[in-house]
Amino acid sequence: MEDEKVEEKIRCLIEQARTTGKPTKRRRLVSGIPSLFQIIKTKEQADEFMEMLNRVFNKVP
Amino acid sequence: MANTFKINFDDVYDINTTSCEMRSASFDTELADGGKKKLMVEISDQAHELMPNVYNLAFGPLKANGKIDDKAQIKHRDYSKAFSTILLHARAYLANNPGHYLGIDGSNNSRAMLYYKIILDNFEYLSNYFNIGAVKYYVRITRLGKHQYENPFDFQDIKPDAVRITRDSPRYPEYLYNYFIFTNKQIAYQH
Repeated sequence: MEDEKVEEKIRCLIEQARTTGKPTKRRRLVSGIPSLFQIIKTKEQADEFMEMLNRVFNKVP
Repeated sequence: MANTFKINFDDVYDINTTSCEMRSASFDTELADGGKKKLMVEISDQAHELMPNVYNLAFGPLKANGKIDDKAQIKHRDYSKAFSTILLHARAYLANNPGHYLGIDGSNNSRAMLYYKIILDNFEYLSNYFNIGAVKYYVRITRLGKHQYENPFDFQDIKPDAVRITRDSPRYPEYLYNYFIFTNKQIAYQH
């Protein structure tokens, strides 16, 4: 279980973000393209990968 | 660099969230030489066009050109605190965006191995906050046999394979992954 202090920190960070009111600048700070984004090029690949992710994350450990 | 990392969301640097969508944040990490360095954490402002819920998280100091240097080798005074800060921001982002998958790229083999070690060493703690998956990439072999080394791989034909990391995941270096994916612990995952 999350402890209360951490949960409060998370709430504070979310609130801090809301109060900044500034959308992310359009300028990207990362120059490279993530490897996964380079590998998935077609809708079929993407659908297959998302199905895999759903299976992986829904599986009871 | 430290050999063990202890992730603890109660021991983090002050995070300055610089966008209302939580896509951008910064904090000052303490260096081994006593100085401080500003690290940026950025979550891609667009998901993959074919995978609308998959976002990428990158972190590092800014280079002279204003881009994040995700290969920078920084001597942190407290590596655990720096990584705890990055992961706490990721946790807050996912709490605010519960349907998202958040990926972290291992920018090279040693980084990927380091991230995997941190996840495994802190699995009991992290699993309170995240579901964690890992991805490997497999390349098709074009031919086997006498001439297999001339041009054996088709790098246009790569398949990703994802697994969920558990407390029983293998600890051997050969079980290396390329990409790590985090989701919010409390949600039902739908695509």
